[in-house]
Amino acid sequence: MLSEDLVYLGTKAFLKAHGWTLLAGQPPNGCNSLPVVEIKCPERKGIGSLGAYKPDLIAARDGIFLLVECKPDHSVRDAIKLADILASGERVNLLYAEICQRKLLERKGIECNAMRFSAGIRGALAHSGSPQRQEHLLSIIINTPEGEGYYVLPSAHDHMLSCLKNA
Amino acid sequence: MSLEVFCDNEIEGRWFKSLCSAFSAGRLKKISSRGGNPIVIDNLVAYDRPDIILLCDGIPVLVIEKTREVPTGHNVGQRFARLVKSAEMQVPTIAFFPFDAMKHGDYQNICNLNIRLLAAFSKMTQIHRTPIVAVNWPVDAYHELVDDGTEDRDMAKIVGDYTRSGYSHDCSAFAAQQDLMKREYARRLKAYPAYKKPPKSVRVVNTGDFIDETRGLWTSSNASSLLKRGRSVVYTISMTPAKCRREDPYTGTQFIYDYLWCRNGPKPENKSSNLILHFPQITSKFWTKKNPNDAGRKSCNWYLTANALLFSDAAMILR
Repeated sequence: MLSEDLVYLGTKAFLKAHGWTLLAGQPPNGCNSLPVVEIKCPERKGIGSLGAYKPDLIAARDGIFLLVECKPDHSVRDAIKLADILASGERVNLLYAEICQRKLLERKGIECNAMRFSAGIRGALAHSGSPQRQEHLLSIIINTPEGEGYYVLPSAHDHMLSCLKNA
Repeated sequence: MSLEVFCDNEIEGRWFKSLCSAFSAGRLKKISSRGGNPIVIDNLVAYDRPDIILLCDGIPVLVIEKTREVPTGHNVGQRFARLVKSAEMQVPTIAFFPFDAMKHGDYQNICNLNIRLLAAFSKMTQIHRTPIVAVNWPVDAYHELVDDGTEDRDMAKIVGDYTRSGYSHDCSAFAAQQDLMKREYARRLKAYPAYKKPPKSVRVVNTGDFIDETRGLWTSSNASSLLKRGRSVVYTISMTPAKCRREDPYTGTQFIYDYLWCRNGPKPENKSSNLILHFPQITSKFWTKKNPNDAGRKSCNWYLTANALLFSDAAMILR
């Protein structure tokens, strides 16, 4: 099994190789070149990051905006966290606002309004453990830090994700 | 020639190795907690952990600190202590960060580098006879950090030149970077002349006058120890008892002020002025309980360079 750092690196390489544009991210340790996006907890007022969510990676392709969580193995906790974020219209709107404030779409030449962003947002669990098909989340199994790996599509039909093909 | 790259994490380690083809054969090793590393690494992380330490045949030849944050305002000292140790050990050091970049959130604005940091690097370089340089992480037209790979161009150039020079402290890239830092300092000082002077939290005082002003807090032996230097730099840290169990950014900032206005030699004892850390809201007993001088804890950084700690009820002389 790969460490969290290496799953992160492998996922970045995998996504790039599969035509995704990396918009943002926060490595598990240290810093890298990607901008960090933080979705504040809507209930929290004032300064500080308590309750905020920083996706490990955000990538875009063909109208899909993918929030990716990276762990060495499948993480039920991450699956719940992603499902919670995706189910909250308020937090998805906050994410879109954060992305716009940082001009992440503009800088990458992507045009998208809030409605299309909401329609295209999906979640993915990237890890190096045994594949565990999720009902609504995409899984990305990472075999090497250089980005060898494959998609495991969700069991529920998703017309946007169904276009993703393993090489 | 055997190269080892000690890194705080694999992501930064691999980034460093990508800067120069000479590093590709270098073995990547993680920096462990203090006590779990080769002695030379443990010595370098004694104050705090830098991101990268390059060893060539077991000798440290380069330390790198990389951050996306602009060292601005009060946070300028956040990562400084870890760089002080490498300077003390005469290991060339590069701090890679944006000089100016957009800060996001409710108070979105462009943040600018606090140029006291550049002045402190210059003084450290002079005192320890070792290059300590700042390299700018460039931004685009929106003041967002460049992230297409070109942001590493200057770093790769400097690291490559240093490597090709056989790790010479006098390599041309370090000299050129120091010139650039001087120009940046002068240009920014012209726009913000206040940065030449200490900030509001720092007073430069006559030692005798200050002891008079705070009489009752010093014993006669404490006072006579401080009176050996006529001038004192008093850095007032307004931490409350509820929030005094912390180091950042203060312990790094104390070193900036120390190098700028006190130090005249490589050891903390080598000062032209005393450095006094003043905690007006905290008692000495409470302080010692929360921030002991324990080498196993980062709180020991409070005791590294000041001459005295002054509390609401008493003073503690350190050197």
